[in-house]
Amino acid sequence: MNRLIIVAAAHQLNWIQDLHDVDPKLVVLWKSKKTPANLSCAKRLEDAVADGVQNALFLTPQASLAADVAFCQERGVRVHSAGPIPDTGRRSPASTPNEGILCGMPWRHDGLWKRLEKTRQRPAFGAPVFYRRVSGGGASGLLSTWWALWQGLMESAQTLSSPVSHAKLNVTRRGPRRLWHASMHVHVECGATAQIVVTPQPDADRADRLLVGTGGSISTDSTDTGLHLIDGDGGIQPLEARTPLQEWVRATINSSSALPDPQVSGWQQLTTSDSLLNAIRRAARHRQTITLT
Amino acid sequence: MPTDEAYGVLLVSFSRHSHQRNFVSLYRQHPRTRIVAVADDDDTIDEDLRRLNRIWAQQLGVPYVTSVGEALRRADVAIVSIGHDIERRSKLAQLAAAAGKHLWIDKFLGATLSECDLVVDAVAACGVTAMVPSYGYGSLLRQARPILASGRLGQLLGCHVDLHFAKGLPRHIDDHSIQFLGGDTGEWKYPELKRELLTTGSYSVGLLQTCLGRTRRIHGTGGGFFFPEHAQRGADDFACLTLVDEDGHLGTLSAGRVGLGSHPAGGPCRAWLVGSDATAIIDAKRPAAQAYLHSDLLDLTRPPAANDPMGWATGPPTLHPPADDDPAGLATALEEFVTALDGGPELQYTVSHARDNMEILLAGYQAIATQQELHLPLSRQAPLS
Repeated sequence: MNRLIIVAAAHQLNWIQDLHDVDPKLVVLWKSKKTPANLSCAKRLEDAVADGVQNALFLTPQASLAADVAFCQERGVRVHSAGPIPDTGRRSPASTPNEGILCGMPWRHDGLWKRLEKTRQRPAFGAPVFYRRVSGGGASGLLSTWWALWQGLMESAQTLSSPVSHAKLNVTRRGPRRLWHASMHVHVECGATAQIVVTPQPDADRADRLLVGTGGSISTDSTDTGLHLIDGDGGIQPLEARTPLQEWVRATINSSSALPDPQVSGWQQLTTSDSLLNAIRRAARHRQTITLT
Repeated sequence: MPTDEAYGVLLVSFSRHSHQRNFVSLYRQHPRTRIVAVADDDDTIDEDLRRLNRIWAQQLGVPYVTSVGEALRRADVAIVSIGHDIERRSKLAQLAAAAGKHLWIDKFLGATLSECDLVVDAVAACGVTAMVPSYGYGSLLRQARPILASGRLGQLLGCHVDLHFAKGLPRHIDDHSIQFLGGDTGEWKYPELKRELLTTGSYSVGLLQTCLGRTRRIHGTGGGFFFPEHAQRGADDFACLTLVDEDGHLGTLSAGRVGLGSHPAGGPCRAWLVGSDATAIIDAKRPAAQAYLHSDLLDLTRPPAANDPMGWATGPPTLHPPADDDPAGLATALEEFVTALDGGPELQYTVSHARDNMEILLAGYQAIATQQELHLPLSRQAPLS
């Protein structure tokens, strides 16, 4: 893969610009409001889909996500998306709904989560009882909140190692930028509970986690990078490690064609489908608790 | 008006289910409080408690008065410190208020919402000052208040708390089929267990009350996961709640007794204050000195004492003791109490807050039992079910 379209949010620009070190031949076509200096840019997806482009990476759910994906499908461009695609019925009628679309789960590339998962599998951990996951993701409205909740839901089910039996969703919106804050109270079949929280900050990629089992607890802290800079004014600033999304992008770029994440099972497909998106809409609009079964 | 005179404190009982023993050192250390007697209605309590009360009175060098009514008539008593079983607290608080004594009440005002209401009414009618120290002054709250006041979070949209006690020795549970008890019976006292949503969840509710508006809706999950004692009775050793306040703000909590050695600082105590501009993460167990002594490491794996298997009277072993020397906030609460008695500002956490705390938890219990969302306020007339 050396010609690639990336659709990303402005706050992701800094590290997108560094992707050339993954593959020096990489040509990134950028579609976003801000124009980076060292990337080939296109104002419209139609302009970006040039000859030889085989892949498109959608790293943020812009409002035109479904239409953009359909456009790529029609032109045979493989779509890698860091979250689900809303089903608006606008995808290419010639293809099956998910043909050529690879929806990733960036959290599976999170070193802290992988360590947590490995520890959980030790017999000493016992049976899982509780999982807390707090991340950003609600800063850009409905679709970004949906992606963050979807990631949280998938991660929780995987971590608790049990299918979801039911969940209750609450959403609140505030402020001039329509910031979204959501919580999902998830009950899984083994009896454990997950509480997934999405804050109105932009970064859905970093999560605080606490997993409690009958044999002990495991936690990860998104602010604990292990690298801190103390500046001349006495301010303390954590230096950021590579995020799970960055790891997922690199894995995707380095992969010739294989889907880096395993297929999700049937119940997960159901839960992460548009029913979750509709539930978020309803919870926000009517300020009600929405039950997902 | 402030004076140098110490307020006389009457300790009403040393129930094993209360924290009276933790209050003793506070009263002794504070220059404005002085323990003057221990009292209980001696003929109505069990032999264990009778013995315990006498031992404490002897150790403190104060008389043990065998009638609470008689003790309340003592002129040297200004404060009644109520550390009795939850089922007796309301009546004792009403009697003490009627006698014109100020109240220091360990945790809940009563076993039912009606009993809590009677205390709130009595305190208002008698014009006494009543402190419920446990829920409004701990590390989380003391750190949250200035952040909230600073405005740096923008508009607060939610608050989320994990507060667990790393105590007790989890054991295999054979039978998970016992139906969840709920909480509408007002029966909280068991010789071998505490209802943990009530016991540990109440601290988190205290924070949610401070951050959010009045709770209007609630749903939750919970049960017995760690200890056969809980599972066999359908009682909770762990529970999670989601709350929605009158403005739609969100609150979630997880609470429980999760086992010795499961956390380096005795259990997580962490909150996220979610605002429109920023999210603040408060870890009450940080900053901490990270001590790794061989004997402490061994303590983490040592079974609890046979006479205190759930760790009611003892703190958990910790590798990361937090720097805060008043994590539960009891010393802070006593200082605020004395200041209020001297004519200072009103208390930040009142009996009304404690009453509402109980209402939230009762609704939470009912929501867990029915797997339904419940709306607050709960009806005062009808039973919860």
